[in-house]
Order: sequence, then C-alpha cells, then structure tokens
Amino acid sequence: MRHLRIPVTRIEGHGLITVHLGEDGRVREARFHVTEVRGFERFCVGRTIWEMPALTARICGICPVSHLLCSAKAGDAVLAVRIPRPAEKLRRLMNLGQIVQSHALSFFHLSSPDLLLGWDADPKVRNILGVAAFDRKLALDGIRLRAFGQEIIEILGGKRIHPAWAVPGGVNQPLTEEGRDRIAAKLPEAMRIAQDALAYYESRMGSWAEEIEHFGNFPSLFMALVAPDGSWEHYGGFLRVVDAERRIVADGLDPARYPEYIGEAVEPWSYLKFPYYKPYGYPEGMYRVGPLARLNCCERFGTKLADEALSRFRALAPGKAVTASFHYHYARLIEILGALEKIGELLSDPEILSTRVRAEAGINELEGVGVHEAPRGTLIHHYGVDETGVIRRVNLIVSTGHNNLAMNRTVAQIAEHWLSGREITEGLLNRLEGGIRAYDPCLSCSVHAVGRMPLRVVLVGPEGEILAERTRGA
Amino acid sequence: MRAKLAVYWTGSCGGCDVSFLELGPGLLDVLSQVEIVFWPALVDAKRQDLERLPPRSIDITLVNGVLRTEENAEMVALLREKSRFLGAYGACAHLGGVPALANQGNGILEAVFGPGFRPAPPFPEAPEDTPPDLLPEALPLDEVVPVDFVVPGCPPPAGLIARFFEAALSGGLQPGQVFAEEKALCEECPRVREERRISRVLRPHEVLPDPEKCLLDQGMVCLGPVTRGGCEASCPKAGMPCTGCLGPTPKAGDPALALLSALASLVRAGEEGEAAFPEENRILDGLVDPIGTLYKYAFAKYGRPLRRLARRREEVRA
Repeated sequence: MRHLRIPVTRIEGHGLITVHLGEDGRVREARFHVTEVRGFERFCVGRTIWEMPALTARICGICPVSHLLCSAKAGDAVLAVRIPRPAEKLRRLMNLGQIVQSHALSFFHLSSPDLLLGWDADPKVRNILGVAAFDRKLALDGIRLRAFGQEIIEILGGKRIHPAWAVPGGVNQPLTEEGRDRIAAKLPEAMRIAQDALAYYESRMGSWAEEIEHFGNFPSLFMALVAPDGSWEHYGGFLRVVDAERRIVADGLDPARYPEYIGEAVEPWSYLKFPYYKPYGYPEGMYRVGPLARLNCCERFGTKLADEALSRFRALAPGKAVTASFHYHYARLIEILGALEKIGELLSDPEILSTRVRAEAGINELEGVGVHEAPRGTLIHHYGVDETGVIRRVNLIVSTGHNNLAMNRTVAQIAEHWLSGREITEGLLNRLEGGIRAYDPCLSCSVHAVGRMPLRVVLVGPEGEILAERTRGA
Repeated sequence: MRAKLAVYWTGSCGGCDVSFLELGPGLLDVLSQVEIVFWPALVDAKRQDLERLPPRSIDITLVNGVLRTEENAEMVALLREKSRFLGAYGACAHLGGVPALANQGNGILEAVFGPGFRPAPPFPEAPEDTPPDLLPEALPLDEVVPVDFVVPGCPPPAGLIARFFEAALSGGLQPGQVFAEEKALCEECPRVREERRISRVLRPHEVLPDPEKCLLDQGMVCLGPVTRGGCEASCPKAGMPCTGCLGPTPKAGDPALALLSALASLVRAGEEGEAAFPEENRILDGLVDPIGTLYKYAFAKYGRPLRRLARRREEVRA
C-alpha cells in the first residue's frame, strides 16, 4: 500500500490525514488522524452533576453552549424532572443563538476564503483577512452575524464563551424585557445578512460543481433529532436515521437508549473514536450528522423562509437525500435563516419572559443521558452518578466524532479525484482541507481536545515506502 | 513597522482563539497593526516556516491551552526560542485550567479508549505519526518555558484583551505583567456584601439567588474574594458564583486555602477549638468536591502539595 500524509489548518483541532494507495496506484482508503486528547471522560469523575454544565463547556470554546445545554439535559434526567416550559424556551433560544454564531464562524470566517478566493489561491491570502481585503462587506457581515448570535448568548448567560447559565432543572436566570428587546432590535439586520449569504451561495453554486461532485459525495446514513411531527429539531424530539434515498431506516429512537444503536470503535492511530450505526456494523454503519443530516432527516423546517430555501435544497436531489458533503455549507446557511426565524417566534412568545425557569429536585436517578443537536450535529452526554450526585462515569459522543468515518471517506474521494501520480499538489492539499472543513469539524469537541489543525499528507506506496510528503501548519 | 504576532494553541478548547473575535469590528483594527507570522487556527503556515525563523524574530507570541502532550511541550519550546515576548493567554496556559483536574489521577488513555489502549502509528513506516504520548501531568506554560506576561481568563474577557493589545502595540509590554486587576473581583461586583454568617453551603442548583445580595452571603461558594478582578464580575452578575478563572489575587495566593479561610470565618468553624461549634463544623461538609470547586482552574499550579499528601497517605496505607 502507498500512503499520503497531510496536516490541516483553519479547523478547530489537531489532525493529520494519510491516504493509502493500493497496488494499482488507486486510493484504497484514507484516514483522518487526531493527535490530541485531554481526558474529560476521566477527570469529570469526582465532580458533581451540578458542576458538569460549566465544566464540560470547557470541552469546546467554539460551541461551549452546546455542551452546557446537553450537560444540563443529562442533569435533568438524573434529577428526573421535566423543566418548566419557559426554561425550555430559553434554552432553545440560547441554542439557536449558538447555531447562528457557530455557523457564521464556519461559513464566513473559516470557509469563505475557499469559496470566495478559490482553492488554488495563495495560502497567504486564503484566510478571513484576505476575504476582508477582497470583499469587506462579506467579512463585516460575517462578523456582525456571529456577534448577533453571541449577543443572545451573552444576554441570557452573562458571558459569550463559557457562560454559566443552564443548570440541571432549568436555567438560573430568566430573560428580561430589556434583554428581549435588545435581541429583537438586531434581528432584522441578521435576517438581511443571512438572506444575502444564502443568495450568494445559490448564485455561485454552479462554479463549484467539481468540488460539489467530489467533496464527499457518496451514499451514507444520516442521523438527526426530529420533532414528533417530523419537522426540524435542535433540542428535543427523537432520533431518526435515513439513508441516501431518504428512506427512514429507524425512527422515534429514544435518545437515552443510544448504546443500543450506536457503537464506538477505537483505532490506535487516532485519538478520535469511530461511532457507527450498530445494526449495520463497523465500518458499514457510517452515518453523517450535522446541518446536512438535519435537513435530510426532517420533513420540513417549520418556518416560512427556511422552508422555501429547503425546497430549493431538496431540488438538488429530488426524492432523495442530498449526499454531497459540500452542501453542508448550503444546509448551514438555510439553518441560520431558519434559526433566526425561530428566534423571532420565541421573542414574540410572552412566556419567554416568565420567571418560572427552574425545577428543583435532588438525585432521583443514578444515570442520565442528554442528547441535543449542536451546530455540528447530534451531541450525547451520558453520566453515571452516586447517591450524592458525584460523577462516577462519563461518556461523551460529540458531533465531529459521528462524522469521523464520513470524513475519512471524503478524504479518500478527494484524493482519488485530484491526486495525479505521486505528487501532492497545492490544489490537492487545499481541497483535502476544504473537504474536511465542509464538516466544520471541531476537534476540541471530538477528542475533547483542541490544538492546531495542521494538514500533513504522506503518500505511501504498496510496500509501505513513503513516496511524497507535504506539510502545512504544525 | 507592524509587530510580528504569533498565536498558538496546545491542549485547548479553542475558546481562547475564538475570544479574539470578541473584540468585534475592533479586531480588524488590531489585525491591521500586526503581521501574523503564525496562527494555525486562522492562517495557513507550517511548522517548518516557524523553524526557519531566526531566534527572537517574533515580537509577541500568545500561547493558549494546557501542556498535555510531549508535542505541546516541544512546540512551546520552539516558540520561546523564536519570540521576544511570550505570554500565557487564558486560564489553561496560565494555571493549567480545567484539563489539569486530570492531575488528580492517571490513566486517561485507558479511561477514554478502553483497557490496553496504546497509540500506534498509522502504518509501521511512520512511527513519527503515532499520536503523541501524554505528559505525566497537565502543565501550565511557565512550568516548561519562561513566561513574560499573562492575559488570564477562561477565556480572557474582551476588555482585558483590548487592554493587552493597547499595551503590546504601543510597545508598553512590561515583563511580569498580568492583564487583570490586583484587587479582588468583589470590588467590581454590584452585589451587596454584608459578610453575614451562613448556616448552609448552597450549590448553584439549590437556589434561585437573590439578585442584589452577595452570593457568598447567600451561602454559595463564590471565589470572588480571592480572584482577580477584570471581568466586571460577569458570572456573579448572571447569578452564578465566580469560579476563579482570572486566577488568584497576589494577596490570596493559593485560592483554595484563601477561600476556605474566608468560608471558615463565615460559618465560624473552628473558632474556639474543634468541639466548640459542632453544627457549624458540619456546614462545610456541604462543600462537595472541594478540589473541583476551589481549584477549578488552578489545580496544576497549586495542587501539588495536596497531591504529594495524597500519595504519602496511600504509601502509609500500603
């Protein structure tokens, strides 16, 4: 076998790619290696269930809110309470703010350099600063849209990164009228930016045809939460699994029983585990989560503008799932728009100002699972506690982890298409990175560790000899 | 000439890198005054490019994250050599941060990946691609390289980041500088403190806090009295006790000892011998997980004596 090796930048985390070639010189498989680990599952043991939301928020500084909310949900399960309705609405509001800010970061700050300047542009300018020089409005729009999502988080939680606000049983502070009005005042501008970005993507889509075709375009399963009526969901509901034909493979799955249908494989060459859909086995049980999966799994978004956009999205693959991972970007933009519409709905709900935001209870169950949709996909927190609420066992399956197998497959597909001979060209390197970036992988989350995300590609021959090597990042 | 800036992350959550965005549109002004020579989260650059730079050719390097792997330690040594000023950015680099709670025990890899897990190379010919070994303990930056200044916080709040750039870009960076207040957080907290005796230690979930009163007076373990100000008391304002992310004030030193002594006076525990106030003495039993609560970010920095003690106790038992 020959191998090809790449590290990756502008993704949150540390990683390395190896591409393995067979005797015939064709790509046999590709692996995305993650080289950091911090050990949250180990050192959360001994902490208390009430400390977990704030503690696990430190898994990831890009989506701390996701861990905060998911952990609080696992805590609700341990307390065996149904939190007050206004508390759920407030948590939803924060999660929607989180989806907006995280998707904006992914699209504008991290991916727009590729989309705007092209995969063959000089790496020195292919970053958000290059975008600012080329299209200042787009760069500023991105900053403003992200700031809007962050402001929702700050108004609710008091702090934009690592807020300490959601707790088992609800939230610890209601929303004030003034806070609500501040969010509402900025909503129209955010809507404008989201619509502009969507229009930009739709108008430029044609010029990315080759990338759309080869950046991880393959059949797979998709998994996401959906509401009981089948519409788009991000906080409650049930898990649904669909296949590439958009046939429902499994529906109404109780998220708390995830160990029955999700397995986690371990490979010694990566600190990122490999979740798979158990009934299909490993690695055949590859599935994707995140914006693309959520749109493929749901029947409708449930808001006007997002549903219009969703029907254009569906037209890409009539009657089937959209299987091109490139369109994670598209799905992300549609979700921003829909999330903003849902934020508008929540703000006009009088209950959003209610001060009934906390259910109080002690330890009533010794085990609790929290599942919700983080921007990057389904997030699972599973805790075992003792009678005093001290954590005894922790398992975390995070969004990027679910996509691990699909990212490997994506890398293989890109290498197959853009690798000519044994040379690792700049264009190949950039597309490998871009292909991974479509998933907006957050390695801080996935291995509960971050660091740099260097890209290093090593091409290795059938005898294991190193044929070529290219490195970027450190 | 624009200042040459490097930003690097080790075992980090990415929140520190993201925190620069909290400057909002002001970020573009800052970026226009610096030349980024290395910042893996933001721009494409290679480790080799860094290796080729002459010593001390980077004006300012900010490192965020805990030192967790051998590779982390190598990279910060390299950055130290290439930098005139090198600073710890964020609680992990400053104090070890949340990931350093792992120093309480061992066996991270086995706990996460299952018994017998050993990292291996992706293929036998590339031993250098084996996921890096973990350091025996998670370490703050200054345990591996000399550190010139600190921008503290989890993550650093926007006001302190702005203050740092103001100093750095005007050439006013002082060795030993910590970009936060020397005074305690309580000084900037709007809650009213009366130093009332408390009869219970309450955890945040047990009570909806009174919006005006000091959280400590309400029985919540708030690290405000022993923690540096500089964040405008953002957590207490949101109803959550301070957990100490800006690090202890110079006066407090070890945050756990300092806060325990403050708590002891609030419950009068031990004032006149152990037996004098038996009920009061039990109040502090409500402080479940003292290490995670009092050393949430600072266990790597201040937890060593405690770890030695625990080891000795185990030896005695054995």
